[in-house]
Amino acid sequence: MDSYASTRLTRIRTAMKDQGLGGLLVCANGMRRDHVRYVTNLNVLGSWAIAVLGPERGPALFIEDPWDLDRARRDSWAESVTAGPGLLDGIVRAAGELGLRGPVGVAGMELMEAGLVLALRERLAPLTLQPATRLLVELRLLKDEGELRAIRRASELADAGYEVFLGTARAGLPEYELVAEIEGFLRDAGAEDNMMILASGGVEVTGMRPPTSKRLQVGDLVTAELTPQVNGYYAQICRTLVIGEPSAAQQQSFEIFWQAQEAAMESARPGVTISQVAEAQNEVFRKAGFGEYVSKRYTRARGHGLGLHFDDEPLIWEGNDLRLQAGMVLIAHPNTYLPLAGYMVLGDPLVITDGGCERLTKTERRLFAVAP
Amino acid sequence: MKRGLVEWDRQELPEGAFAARLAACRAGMCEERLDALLVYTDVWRAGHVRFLSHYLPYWSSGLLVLPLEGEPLLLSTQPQRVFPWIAETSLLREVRAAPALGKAAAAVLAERGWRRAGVVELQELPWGIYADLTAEAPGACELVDASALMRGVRLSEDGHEEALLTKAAAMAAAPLAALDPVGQRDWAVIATLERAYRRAGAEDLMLLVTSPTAGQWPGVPREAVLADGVLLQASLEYKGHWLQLSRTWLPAGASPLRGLYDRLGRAYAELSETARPGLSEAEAAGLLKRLAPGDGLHLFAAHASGSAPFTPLPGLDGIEEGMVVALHLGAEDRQGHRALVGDTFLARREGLARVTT
Repeated sequence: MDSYASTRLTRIRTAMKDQGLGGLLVCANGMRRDHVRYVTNLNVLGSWAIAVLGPERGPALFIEDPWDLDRARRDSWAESVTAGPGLLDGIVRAAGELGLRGPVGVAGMELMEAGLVLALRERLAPLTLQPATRLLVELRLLKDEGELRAIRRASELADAGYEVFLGTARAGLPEYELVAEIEGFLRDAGAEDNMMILASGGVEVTGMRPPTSKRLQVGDLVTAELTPQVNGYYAQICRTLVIGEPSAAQQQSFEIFWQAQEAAMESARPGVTISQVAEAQNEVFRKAGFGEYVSKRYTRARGHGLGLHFDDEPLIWEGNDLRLQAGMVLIAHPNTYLPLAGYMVLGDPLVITDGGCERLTKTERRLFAVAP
Repeated sequence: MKRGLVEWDRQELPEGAFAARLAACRAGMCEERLDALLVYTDVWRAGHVRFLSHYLPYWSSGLLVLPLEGEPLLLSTQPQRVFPWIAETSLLREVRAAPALGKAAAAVLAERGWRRAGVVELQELPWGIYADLTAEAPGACELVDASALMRGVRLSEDGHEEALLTKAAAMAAAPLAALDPVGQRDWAVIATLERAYRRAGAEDLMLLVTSPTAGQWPGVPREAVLADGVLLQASLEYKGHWLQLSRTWLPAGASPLRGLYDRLGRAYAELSETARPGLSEAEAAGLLKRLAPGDGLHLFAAHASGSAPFTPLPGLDGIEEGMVVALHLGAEDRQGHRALVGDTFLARREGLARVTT
């Protein structure tokens, strides 16, 4: 176990103590594997895994799929790893061996299979279980040097990936072949995974989704979010390009997005609330006469955190009063639909520093044009 | 997050196929006296709802509400902006935004005045949804587990599934046949397949690789040169149909692993010829025992007929007629060197029919 891991487990135990928890169960499933990775360093491949952390000892790790056993023993910080049938008995035994006391927090409880929660409640009694996802979410907001190193490397891959995107997009290419090229490139460069959505077209496009067989056409806006993962950590870049020469309306629309992202970066510094970062972006749209397009009808969020999940907390939205601190990593992206030219995106990963924020990607912030 | 080609080709999979599947579900609901069926879906556990409606929540979750009569309703955590895409890629026309799926489902049960609703994989529902649903469902509505009903429908013969699996198998085979991975970086091997499969129209992939001397089964690559050979497992999804295969490559010429690999090949041939639905636990254990004396043998069996892509089976005795089954056999010699082979099969009454080649 390296010093980052040791420090991390100490922080988790301190938070457990502060919240009066005498143990922590951490759950991964097919949708969310990030909490278990944070606590054990294991990239879970199967359908579920549970880590058991005692007040002084642990974690003990339980994984559904025996396929992963050797890798888990090599990669994880867990004191013990168990796979296959009989995991419930193992978890109950580990709770005793690791000295769990009640109440026990459960991170990821809302995603655990109901039958497992019911069985654990019964078998662990008189220990009581209570949701504790927030405990890990809040600890994970601040990144250590090891985490920042991975995010910086992922940001480099995001830049390189977008360069390939620019070099590949052309009229006549189906969207899914464009994605195939980017995915291949990112794998070759060492990305573990990548989250990616895109869209192409004009004012009829109201959002992004997985690629289709639609062929890119001259005049299309092509929007993309690339989110490569390195050592578990994601960084995201959002850019928009035009096949051929941008129209005046496309340029006019992009200018609003550029100003909104600029306002977000200017506002992002320690002490400022997430709400203020969202407001900084939204004010640009309001002043331009497009205030209604920053509502949930047209946009999901004005950005989000980045880390072991590609859509981590905090969600950047007006009304979120969480205050930024140095060491947080987020993407501020004013992505939304505008009637001027359709859905458009622009965003970069930012690490909050003592004096403001640092943009981690280097790709130019402009409306790109590629030759048809 | 799905980022392959997600489209509904109605020539390949006509609406009539879904009508038949929904009718089969409704026949089961009649027998069980159910007014409605609730089926959970998310980006990982998409199988059942995809089978019934072609809907794929590419990064979120949902609950399909299938009434005994009338249109199915999707409760979705996806934003309203995505609803046109849902309509384009599935037969679902009625979609309701539902950030809290359990509460929304309970509200629908109350609104429709249903007395008895079946929940597929009730015990496997995410706790948050289960807790809300059971707490807020109207007292007059009985909730029962309907997993067996769904399982029966999924395991019944469906020619469309077989055709799509066959297409997926052809898609999986070509890039592997052209692959010459020994001596390459693991990242490059995965990149070559990733590009080829996505260009061919794969919807999703999980590509795992390692060296026979690494002391593990394939995993996410870690930047290594695969000089001693290659173990690879490819999982590929095409139009909601998952298949999986494992292969071993050894360096050209003499290799200390050649004997292990050959013994594994013979064992696997016997395994795939002998395994069949209805094998007893004792028969399954006996078969594995006699396959490769002297080597450590590891069987990894899973089926792709549930909601998750591959659900581990406890052993060969877990195979049921109609299942899409992946069988992987790994061998390990005394030095810890490994070889691996695996394919996907359709489980027929008389035995396993190989899908992958």
